[in-house]
Amino acid sequence: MAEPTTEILYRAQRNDPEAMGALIVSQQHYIYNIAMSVMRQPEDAADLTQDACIKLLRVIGQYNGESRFTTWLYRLVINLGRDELRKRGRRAPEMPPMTDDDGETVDPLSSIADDNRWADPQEVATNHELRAEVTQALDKLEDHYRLALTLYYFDDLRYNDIAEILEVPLNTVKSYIRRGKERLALLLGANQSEAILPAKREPVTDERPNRGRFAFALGWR
Amino acid sequence: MKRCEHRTNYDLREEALDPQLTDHLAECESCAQRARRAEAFDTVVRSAMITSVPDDLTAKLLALVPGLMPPMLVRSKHWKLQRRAFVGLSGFASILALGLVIYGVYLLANTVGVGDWLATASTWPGVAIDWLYRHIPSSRSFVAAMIAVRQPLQWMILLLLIWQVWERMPLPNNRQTA
Repeated sequence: MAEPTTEILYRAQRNDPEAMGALIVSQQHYIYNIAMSVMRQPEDAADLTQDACIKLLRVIGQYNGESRFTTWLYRLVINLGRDELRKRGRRAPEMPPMTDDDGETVDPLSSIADDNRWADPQEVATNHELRAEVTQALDKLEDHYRLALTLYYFDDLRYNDIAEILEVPLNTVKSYIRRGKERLALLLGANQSEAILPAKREPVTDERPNRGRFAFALGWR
Repeated sequence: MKRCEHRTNYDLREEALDPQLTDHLAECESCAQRARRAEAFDTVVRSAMITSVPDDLTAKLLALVPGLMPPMLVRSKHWKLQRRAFVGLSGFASILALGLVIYGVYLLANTVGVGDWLATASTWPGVAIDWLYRHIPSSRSFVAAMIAVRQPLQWMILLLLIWQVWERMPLPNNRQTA
């Protein structure tokens, strides 16, 4: 559980070094992973993590408990990351407006229906090849989907928390997660095609996605 | 794959499966298969998304906290001197230990009579050089030159060995404190 205890927060807000240290140690993993999602490079993520901790120590007194502490902290990290990217002239991972899920039945998982590697949840946990493919696809995933999915896969974050962190409506979060998964599976399909037929490689676009084996198996129509 | 009305509920659930959905998964093979794949997909993506924090980052972050200096970050002012003293003493102890071992072997050899054989064997180089002088008189100057450079060469080899050992010793990682 990432949420720190009230006592730790109380002591940290009163500049207790041990409580501050405990808070940082308990949150560093989450901060770093969000930073990786925003910055993408390990060195940049480490710098952002340090900047976020400096800011956390400076403004922790302003945390008033209106939202969960982690929600407040992760929003701080993401905003710092966006500022840093803007300073560098890079495009920050903004959340483009998105209509709510329409009636169209898009199933993000049906594309892996005929790939036996996905059949057993116990086996995939130890399948390094599959994990490497997913890591490669994640690298290609658009920033806003990647950020939403990073928050989604944190065990203790609910949709409401994610919406608060990203400052978007709840339905938009649901759309991002659903479409992020679709997109990820499409990219997995594209990777598969590249590995098999490099000459027939086509760019993956939002309008006409390249439906590879994964996407086909997931059954997107 | 047949679309099922429960699928969206399964995908967007936040808690454990509710009883209605559990019942449905028990009845609907298509949804049950899909649920297993969804779980597998989530497992792989979750594990691929989680990146370990770099080893040195925790120390850097803790160093940001005013008034908190964990023991692992504290390094004595004289750590370089201490390190050299440690290396020097270790070298001295090793040489002493080696000397004792050689002396022990020497005593043992004398006890079992190997000493006489060694004494004979130690005359062999002199015999060989006499033989060389007699048969190739010009070799005298070469042997003389070799004897002249022998001692400086020994010292040079010893210094080279010490230098190599010194260079290859791993330095402790420098920890950034800000």
